[in-house]
Amino acid sequence: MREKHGHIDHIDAPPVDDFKEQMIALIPSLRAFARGLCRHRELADDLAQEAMARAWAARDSFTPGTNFRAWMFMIVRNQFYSTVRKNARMVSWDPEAAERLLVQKPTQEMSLHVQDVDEALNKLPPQQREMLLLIAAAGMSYEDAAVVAGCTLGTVKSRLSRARTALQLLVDGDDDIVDDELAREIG
Amino acid sequence: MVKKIERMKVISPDLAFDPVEAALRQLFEEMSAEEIPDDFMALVAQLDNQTQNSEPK
Repeated sequence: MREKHGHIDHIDAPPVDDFKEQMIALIPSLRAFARGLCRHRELADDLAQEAMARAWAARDSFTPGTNFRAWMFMIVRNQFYSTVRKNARMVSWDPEAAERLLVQKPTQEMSLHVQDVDEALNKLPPQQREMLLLIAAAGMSYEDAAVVAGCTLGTVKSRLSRARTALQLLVDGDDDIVDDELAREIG
Repeated sequence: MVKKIERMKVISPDLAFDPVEAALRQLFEEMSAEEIPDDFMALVAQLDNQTQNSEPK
């Protein structure tokens, strides 16, 4: 950034067209990450769009050459937690998904279904779920996940480890882990 | 043979195939592959227009 003719000129800011192209290319994964966080299709799309508008407004603060994906995911995440605080509907629980959990019976024992994993993911505390979404699902590095979540590398590793264990136990049918993990996150 | 087994032991858990994580990746890929609703591109166009209009001529 430099001062020129009495006003601040953001020479490091990306050209608008580049920024726009990068943002458009990321829309599918922004939607997927938002859906994973708030577990509701329409609310997730609202969340992704609000994050895009915020990112656009703050585009001068993005440094070209740094990780645009991590920067955008961080904005989606921050928007999610900000909205959760204001809107009880998004408290990481989709009532329709909860209903499905109550009525669904196991169809095939000993086989792993993507749907089972999706439902198990829904039961995890948000901070563990986001680590699985970022690293296991979206393929992000630990370092980038730390940037997105605003925490240390050590915290990323410990949350991910607990999340992996809890998810596996849930998939195996051990629902008691949910209470333990929620208590740990809150406590 | 022994050496081969020892090498297998040190494979990082991150690199080992994990069906649960494979399912997570599949879920994410399925969501990413969905058709993007029109209002996303409309939003980008709106943001772009606002920027163009606000730039000094």
